[in-house]
Amino acid sequence: MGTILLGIIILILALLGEPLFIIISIITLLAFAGEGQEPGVVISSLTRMADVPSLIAIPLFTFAGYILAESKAPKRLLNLSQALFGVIPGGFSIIALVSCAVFTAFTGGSGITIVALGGLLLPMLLREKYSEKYSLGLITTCGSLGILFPPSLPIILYALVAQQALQQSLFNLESSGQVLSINKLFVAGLLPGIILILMLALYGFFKAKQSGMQSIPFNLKNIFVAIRESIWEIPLPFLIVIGIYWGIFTATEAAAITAFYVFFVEFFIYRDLKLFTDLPKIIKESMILVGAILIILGSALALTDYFIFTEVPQKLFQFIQTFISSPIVFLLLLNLFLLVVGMMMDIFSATMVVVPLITPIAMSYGIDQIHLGIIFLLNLEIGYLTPPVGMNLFISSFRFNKPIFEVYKSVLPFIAVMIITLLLVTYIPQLSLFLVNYFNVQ
Amino acid sequence: MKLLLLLEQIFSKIELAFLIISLIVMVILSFLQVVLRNIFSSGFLWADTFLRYLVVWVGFIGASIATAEERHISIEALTKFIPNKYKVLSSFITHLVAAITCYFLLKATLQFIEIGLPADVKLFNSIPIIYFFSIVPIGFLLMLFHFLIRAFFKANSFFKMLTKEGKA
Repeated sequence: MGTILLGIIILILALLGEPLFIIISIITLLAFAGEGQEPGVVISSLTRMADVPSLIAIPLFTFAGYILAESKAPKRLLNLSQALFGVIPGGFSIIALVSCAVFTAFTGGSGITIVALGGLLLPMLLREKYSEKYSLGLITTCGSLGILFPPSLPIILYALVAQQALQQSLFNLESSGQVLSINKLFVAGLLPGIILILMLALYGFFKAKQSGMQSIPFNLKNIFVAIRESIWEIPLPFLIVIGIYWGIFTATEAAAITAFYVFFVEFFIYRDLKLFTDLPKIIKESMILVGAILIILGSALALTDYFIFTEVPQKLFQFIQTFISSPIVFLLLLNLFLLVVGMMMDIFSATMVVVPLITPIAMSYGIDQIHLGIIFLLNLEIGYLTPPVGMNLFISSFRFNKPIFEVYKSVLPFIAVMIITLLLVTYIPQLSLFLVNYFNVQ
Repeated sequence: MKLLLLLEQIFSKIELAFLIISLIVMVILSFLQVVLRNIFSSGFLWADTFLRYLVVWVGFIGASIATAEERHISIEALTKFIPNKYKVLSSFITHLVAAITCYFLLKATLQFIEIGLPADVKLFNSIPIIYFFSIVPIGFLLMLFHFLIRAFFKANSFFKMLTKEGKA
């Protein structure tokens, strides 16, 4: 009785907007006290944070992403993709899709894409006579597109959390690094991410055909100008992808190189930003996000320890197994569950809270951990735009001053396309695993 | 009231200065380390450990600034539907609860330092680990401080709203 009441109070606090790390800490402090443990145990889990070598990838990539967002890189990116893809029928959808995906991969999908790129893209789409409903839906969808591509923050965080969970879990006695690493997830996300963009582009193509839209004529000079303009930024995605595919460097090293390179290029070559006015602002903004994530990560580590201490994943697995024996049905239900989670929580919180529970369970069903990671991330990406409370919907409604219900209606066809892709990715594990195995990524 | 605000601003300035220096060090040192390791097959032995702790420091200070700016990650889905007047009240409650929780976390940390932290472990052969770990109690103390001040301001503006309504 007391426990239930306490649970309700904590739930109400969470819904009132209590910081998530406080909610997790309350639960953990109470839970360990309930087991008769000293409160110091909660902190001892936190010390594990300093033992994770790849943790540094989080501040470094976030810093680089915020620099890019504040510079004129979004405009250059848009010019480039316009020059490259404008000739394709329905090309403006592709311009939006590709530039947003690249941008989000670097900035981490916290809604910043809609604010930074959406403001440039929406008038462009409307000028090309795309309907307002389609344009709004496309921009809202684009806001979280690209979190499957390296070096997106959600992938890094997923890999870190899943690794910790597997290491601590009694299910798995081998080193978790063999099962899952940032590098592997970076590679695994590539094909599903490209398929998602292709599916959405296909939808855009039909839309453009329907309304008899013209493509802009091919112009080699435009392409040259756009390439020369962003010559310093073009190597960036290739540097990361190729460097990791060929095993030249690890994800952590890629983070160090990216952060330094982006800092140098934007501040000293393009000079879009000023050292004494812009740098402190960028550091502050990016490290607020990093701090907010890391403090949740620290508290979630303690909660994970409690789960493992009391064998929660095993009990959950046994419970679920009495109803579901097939991994396929399990994955289907997992998809539904994750869509709901994605509606309520942002991708970072969801990763830190849910992943420690589902990874051991999925492992018991014999589901590949890399495949699971891609399914998880894709689900959460859809959750960003699922009515009624997906985060992108509010950002779009706020940014473009549109009633929320109009935004709801605009995203529905896009959600349908994404769910089809999700089903493909869920039931064809090879989409996620092929490249990892082919390149033998470690 | 004004004094509290000033105090909070001073703290935030110091925290920000720390963040700026740490991040610049982090970016340059980690890059240097990659260059040294991959091109010259050398590198600083202490750098990797130092950087790992620096991340924890940056994390806690970042979290502290997030507290001062009310930018912590929370489940915001339903807060958008709370009427404005009650938003201030609920915000007061959540900040107060957060402050209390930070107090207990601080207490737990102090207990952990006393019984759980291996006192004789030294990093880089000479520096006791407690110097690196000290950010945990410092971080919780800073957040406790910011949460309390925030709670105080929320209570203040709620009462102002009430008296305004009373007059009207």
